Amino acid sequence: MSTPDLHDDDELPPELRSALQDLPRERQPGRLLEERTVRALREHGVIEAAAPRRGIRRLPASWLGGAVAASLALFASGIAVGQWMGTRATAEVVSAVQAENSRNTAMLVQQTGTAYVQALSKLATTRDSGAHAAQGREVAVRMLRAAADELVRIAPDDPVASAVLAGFQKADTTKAAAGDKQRVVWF
Amino acid sequence: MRAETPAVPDHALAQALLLRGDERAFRELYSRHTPRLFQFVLRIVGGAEHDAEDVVQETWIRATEALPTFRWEAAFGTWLTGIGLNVARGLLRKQGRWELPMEPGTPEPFRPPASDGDRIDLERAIALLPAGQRAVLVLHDVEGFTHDEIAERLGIAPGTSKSQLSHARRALRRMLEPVHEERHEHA
Repeated sequence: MSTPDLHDDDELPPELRSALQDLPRERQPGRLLEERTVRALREHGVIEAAAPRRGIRRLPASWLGGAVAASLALFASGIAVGQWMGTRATAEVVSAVQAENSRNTAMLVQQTGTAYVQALSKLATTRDSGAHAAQGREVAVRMLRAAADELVRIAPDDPVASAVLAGFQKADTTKAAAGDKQRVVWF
Repeated sequence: MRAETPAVPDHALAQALLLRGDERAFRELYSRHTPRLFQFVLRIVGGAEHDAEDVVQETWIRATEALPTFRWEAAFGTWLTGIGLNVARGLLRKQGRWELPMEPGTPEPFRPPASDGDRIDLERAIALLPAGQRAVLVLHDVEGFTHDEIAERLGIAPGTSKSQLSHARRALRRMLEPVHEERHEHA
């Protein structure tokens, strides 16, 4: 871009030349164009595809403890409640989950979380150090991992859940190196 | 007193986009250059906003695809505008509205002035020009390109650019003249 050719100026009245030069050089397009363009570039693979959404929203810190307990409880319910509270309680838990009622689910979280912790507490005091105790510990650990995994899905930026998962991954590496084998069949 | 941190240069943003598919880098480039690009292509396509938005989107797609080959010898915005011009020409050609190069001596198409005032708006007058003449006029009289540069960009001879500019200016002046007499004659 440089100075326009001067020999053409005789055809353009000064006021018109000035008006042309004063025309606006910028204009904002519609607001949706940017999103449209970003989406198109994502489809072309130019922009990194967004990571799969792992959580609907970020929970405030005050919810953290509750969310941890909720996740632990939900994933522990199948084993812990089944072992320590009996078939009837499990049926109620499943029923409540299926109802997708947030209030019921919150209560369920509290109940099953407590049950899980109680179960672990009892497991800790048992004198049995044989295969059953080992199996119980492994189940408890796997429940904890599954719960942490779910919690990360709920709150991807949560440092506690991330740290728990990182710990598990580190343990996996160590176990793999040691050739450790799983004792229970996961379901 | 600390100097203000300079903005991230276009080159760095382009690198971030190329290497990591960085969406934020693209959005920054988009916000910097799209208003000027949009205004430019809007004039080239004759004021049709929807067409101009399509051109802008396609321009960004082509620009990001060609970015690895861009040598940064010209300003990013100038390079982008060149791509926008090609995309706009492609659209006009597809619509059967691109008629460059015209044969020497081709009569100027008659474009009636607007009937809503003594004079029509300059932008409207530009939009009423035939697409090829309009492109030359916008590039020369608004954007400040020389005939050699226009010839290179439009794939025409410099002489064609000059003659098209002459036609465009004559048509523009005619359209911007008061229309009282013409109205009375038709009354």
